[in-house]
Amino acid sequence: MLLAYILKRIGLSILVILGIIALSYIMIYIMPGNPAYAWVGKPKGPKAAEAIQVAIRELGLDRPFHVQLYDVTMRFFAFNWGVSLRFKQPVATIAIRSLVATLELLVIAYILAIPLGTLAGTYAALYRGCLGDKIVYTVTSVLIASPRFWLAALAVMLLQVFNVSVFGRIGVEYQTSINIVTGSYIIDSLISLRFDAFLDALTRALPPAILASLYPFALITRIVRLSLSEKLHEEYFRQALSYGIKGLYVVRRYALRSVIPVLAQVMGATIAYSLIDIATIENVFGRDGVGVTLAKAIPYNDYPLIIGLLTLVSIAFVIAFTIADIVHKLIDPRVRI
Amino acid sequence: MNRQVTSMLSKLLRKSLKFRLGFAITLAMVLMGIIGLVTPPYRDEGWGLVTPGTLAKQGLPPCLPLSCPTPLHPFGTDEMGRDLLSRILVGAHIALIQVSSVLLLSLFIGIFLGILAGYSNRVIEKLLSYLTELFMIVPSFIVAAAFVVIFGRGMLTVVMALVLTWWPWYARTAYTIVRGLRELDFIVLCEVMGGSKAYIIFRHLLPNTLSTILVQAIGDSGSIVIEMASINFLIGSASLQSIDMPEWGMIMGYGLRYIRTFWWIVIYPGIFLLLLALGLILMGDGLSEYMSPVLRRRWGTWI
Amino acid sequence: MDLSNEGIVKAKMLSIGYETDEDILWAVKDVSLEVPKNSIFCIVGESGSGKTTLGNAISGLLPPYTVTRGHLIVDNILVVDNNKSNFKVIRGAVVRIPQNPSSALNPYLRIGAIFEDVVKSRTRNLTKAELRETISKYLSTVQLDEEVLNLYPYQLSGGMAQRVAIAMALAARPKVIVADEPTSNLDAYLRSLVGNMLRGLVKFGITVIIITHDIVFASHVCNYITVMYGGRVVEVGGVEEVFANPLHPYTVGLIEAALLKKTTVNSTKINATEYYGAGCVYKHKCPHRSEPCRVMPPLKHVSKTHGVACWRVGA
Repeated sequence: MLLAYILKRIGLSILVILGIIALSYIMIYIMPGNPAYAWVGKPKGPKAAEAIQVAIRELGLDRPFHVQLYDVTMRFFAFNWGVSLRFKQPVATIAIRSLVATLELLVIAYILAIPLGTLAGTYAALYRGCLGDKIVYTVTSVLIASPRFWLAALAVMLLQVFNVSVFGRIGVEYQTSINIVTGSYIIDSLISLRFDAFLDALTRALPPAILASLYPFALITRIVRLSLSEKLHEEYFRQALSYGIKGLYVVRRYALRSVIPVLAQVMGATIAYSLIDIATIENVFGRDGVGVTLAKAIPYNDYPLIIGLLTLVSIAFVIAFTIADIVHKLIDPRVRI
Repeated sequence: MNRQVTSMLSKLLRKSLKFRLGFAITLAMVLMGIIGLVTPPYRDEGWGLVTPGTLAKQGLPPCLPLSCPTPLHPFGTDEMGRDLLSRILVGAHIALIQVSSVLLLSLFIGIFLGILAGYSNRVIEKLLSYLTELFMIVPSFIVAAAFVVIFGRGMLTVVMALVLTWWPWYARTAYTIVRGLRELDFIVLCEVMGGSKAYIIFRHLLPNTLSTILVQAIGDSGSIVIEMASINFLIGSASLQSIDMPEWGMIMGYGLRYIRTFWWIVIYPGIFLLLLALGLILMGDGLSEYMSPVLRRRWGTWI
Repeated sequence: MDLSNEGIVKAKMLSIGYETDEDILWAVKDVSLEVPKNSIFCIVGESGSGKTTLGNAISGLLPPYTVTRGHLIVDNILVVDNNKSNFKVIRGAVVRIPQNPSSALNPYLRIGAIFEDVVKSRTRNLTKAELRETISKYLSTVQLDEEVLNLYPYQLSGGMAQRVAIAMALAARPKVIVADEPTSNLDAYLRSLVGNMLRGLVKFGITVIIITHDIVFASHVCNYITVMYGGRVVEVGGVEEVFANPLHPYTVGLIEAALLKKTTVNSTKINATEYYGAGCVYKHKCPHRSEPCRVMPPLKHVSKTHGVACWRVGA
């Protein structure tokens, strides 16, 4: 039963991935005028016509539609996503490198946000209506309402007063001493056993990661607070208390357990939204992740890179959500009927 | 219908502190927007015009809690010499229009497709479910970047990108509600008595979905504001030339490069952004607490 | 059966209410009663009579948003002292058997796991073997097999869940068990089974309080009975004397309805304002309604144990 569900889910995900590839392809086509024109970055001047011809052949625009679609799909899985106009490198390389940098922040941010958010939410739910709860509510509301990039700008201004080096992902002096394996300086410095570099990379990652964790922290707190409050009035919770089982133990084992599925469901949308936050925070801190790469691509009309990022990030989401969904179904025995 | 809305509104205002606060803040923002549209202090500068006169007063510092160096420009001037207060005021009305557009368009598309998916045959249902899932996954800010490359940098571009990524959420809610209603007796009776599909949709299904979705939409509005500003921030920070249209996020994004010198270009619009989002969020929370009375009681702890 | 006057549960002018937007809605009004140790004590009433709220108060499970007045003493511990309440202390000493046991078990855990939690909360430092032994012992008292420990709550039938709930209640080794509508969801066979089980609980030194609307069940199982209506106690007494000589018109009506006799109750329309207004709580339905009924009669005892709240009785 469970296996059937997992297979069905993975099948659906593959369909969605194909859909994303098709979507990216369509986006190349909806450009007004000649699609090839935008693909080569809207060139002007004498060499323009030639460049456009090359692009037409490259994009396969002179071939029948279904053939093009097939080509695009094949090329995608071969990681042949075109060349970035701005960086003059393969799009795939840049896109993956940017994604890894962004993931660094994402992972650290959520490692911070999930436990802290759960704690805060539990506290607020247990003492609902009291002063502590009101404070929690106010703080989370302000955090959700604040533009995180603005907070980042404030943070940068503050940190500069203290002369802390926060920009970039790693100090220039360490860059050469690390072997790039994963693309993440934090991990690679550990692999290369350079702990000074590791510390440097970590400290540079912490302020932006903390800023990035503010939104998920606030959201998780709110969700836990809300759904735990409901669960605390479920029959089985009261009954467990009646049997004499200790209060906090019951909260942990009975009520919180049932909050996990709710969290898992919402986590997808939360991460998608966090990504925008992270993109802007990266910008402020000068870390070259998806946000900065995108920002650099726009003024150069680097369309191949943008589409490449779009496809990559979308597919990363699909994979992440599928895994989350499967884990969710594994945890909740009620759904296994 | 109208009377219901006004009575609910007055009840909300009376009973819910959150709603009162949020409503007041949002109203203040709307007022700012109206002033920005009709009579900002430096109208041309507000909309981005740069004259030799403006260039003469580049980078004037703003009024801080204790000192006010240039009383004529309470928020200082930006890197081109334009009055920041006017820019912010004009930006207020732009922000409001953008948010409303995103909401209206995505609600329209979302509810339409959602009801369609919930009330049609299996083929259309599966197809629309697939599309919904697809567009939910696509990240809005990258789509926005692509649109900027294609369509240039206008007010509509980012709005379109956001509509594309927000409609699936409303479609899903509408779909769930319609699926639930579809089995209910009164719908089945209607069909049996010969009511046309369109009639059932407009008379029965739509009103039921609207109320829930509207609450959801108002709750989302705060996030939409921030998302819009964040995307514009990215675009602004990438921009090679100064921004004309005083969209808050873009002003802040472009101003990022002056953070060490003209820091107020980034900081001041952010304050108002925060206020607008806060007002909307408080209203949304007040509304949803009103809708489910369980949440309204004063609690304590079991433990 | 211990007839000493020391009741294990004592209520003195206890009132319990829920706060609403405008006002306080009183579910239990000025209730005084005493539950003798080791007895089977029934609280009988229809929905809305306040019996469930009273039962929740005795088990320590009142929601935190309730308001209280008066006093409630359980096992010599002052649980409700006017508007101060401390329900935490009596949980475990007073255990509730829920009305709908299937939804009262954590759906994410197996029965065995929940059972272990219950046993571990009362006794520390049990080895795994001792734990399993103890649980089997309790299961056998309710005639359940060990297999049930591996099941999830949604897999149990109503009767099985009810028995599991009783077994767990025993495992908590309480002094008082409050059974909330133990027979509402059961068929006749299971009803008698549960009735017998509840009767057998006194052997363990446990006082049993049963909340039910089924007065016939109460007559077969209980020693003492309290009839509630509209949040107030209208009649109390030993089960034989109350059935032999029901004094309050509502009790009369209940018994007649249960025995399917023609009722003498006046089935007038219920006037909402009359229902919540001052005066006798039953006056809108009472066939003997008269002038003094504008004031709520106090509970007067006609014998040591039999009391009634009606102006027509006693001096």
